[in-house]
Amino acid sequence: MLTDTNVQNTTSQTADNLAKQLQNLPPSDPAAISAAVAEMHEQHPPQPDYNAQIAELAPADRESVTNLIGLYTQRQAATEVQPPTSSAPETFAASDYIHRVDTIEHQEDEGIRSDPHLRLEAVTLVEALADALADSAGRLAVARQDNSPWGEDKARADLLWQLSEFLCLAEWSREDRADNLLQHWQLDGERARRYACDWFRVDIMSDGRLETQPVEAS
Amino acid sequence: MNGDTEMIRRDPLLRLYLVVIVANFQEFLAEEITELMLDLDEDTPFDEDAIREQALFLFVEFLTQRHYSPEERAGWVRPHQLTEQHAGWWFKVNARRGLLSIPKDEE
Repeated sequence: MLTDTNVQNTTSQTADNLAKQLQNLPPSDPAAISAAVAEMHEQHPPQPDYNAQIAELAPADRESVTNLIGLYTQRQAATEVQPPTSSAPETFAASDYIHRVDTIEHQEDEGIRSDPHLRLEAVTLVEALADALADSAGRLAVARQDNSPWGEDKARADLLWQLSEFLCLAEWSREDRADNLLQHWQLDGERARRYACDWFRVDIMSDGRLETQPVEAS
Repeated sequence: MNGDTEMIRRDPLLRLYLVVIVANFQEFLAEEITELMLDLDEDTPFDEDAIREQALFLFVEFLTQRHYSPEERAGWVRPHQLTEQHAGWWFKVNARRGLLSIPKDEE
């Protein structure tokens, strides 16, 4: 069975081979050395220290992340490719294994994104959020005593931005907020449905019904 | 879009409204997925928690206008965390039994 230990062993063997190649190169060949180093970095990019990041989380969240890692490991084990039954030496490269897991996950995600029921459901969620934001933004602007013509829009933009940060447990920069996140005016009245339908590939029929466009999962 | 980013993040009124929105959204998501399950084929087994998670993942991708890999989504809020308590932790709002308040040291 191909385990994490196998992958690590294969990876370290490959790295050792590359290191030996580096030692065997003549010292006057900097281009070859640079190419070998670049190849090694490409094949084995440095991994972030996830344990340190997890240790910094709040206790409730740390437990949640730990559980998630456990589930993810189980799923990886379930999708793992069985080893050959012959006694031939193991030739399955770590990169093949990683690529195969990535491909399976990509296909699963595309299946979810193509699911017609989920896409219709997502449009409904967006419409509900637009209503909730409109309602809360009006009251927030009043509570802030912001009587300016754009007070409600600003409140809605702030709510949407902060909600996005919470859902991703991330902090978006000012540039992200302006350039990458959904903008509050895209959830303004009927626009919310139109933008959501466009994103989730759903048609709005002349009688107001929603119908999913046929999508092939890649 | 005006105003200092950190000042907006600290706005107590905004934070209180956000906790309420999150809690209401959890309720709405649960109701919607339960309805969806009723509409689906009864003979096919469905995992309600998984469907709720998938719907939330599509929803967040729309809000952030891009697709994410499973690794990128690993730190996201899960459907069962769409609660007053969890939102309260993130937005630094005390949330106990439906009563929301800003921590005393901020008042």
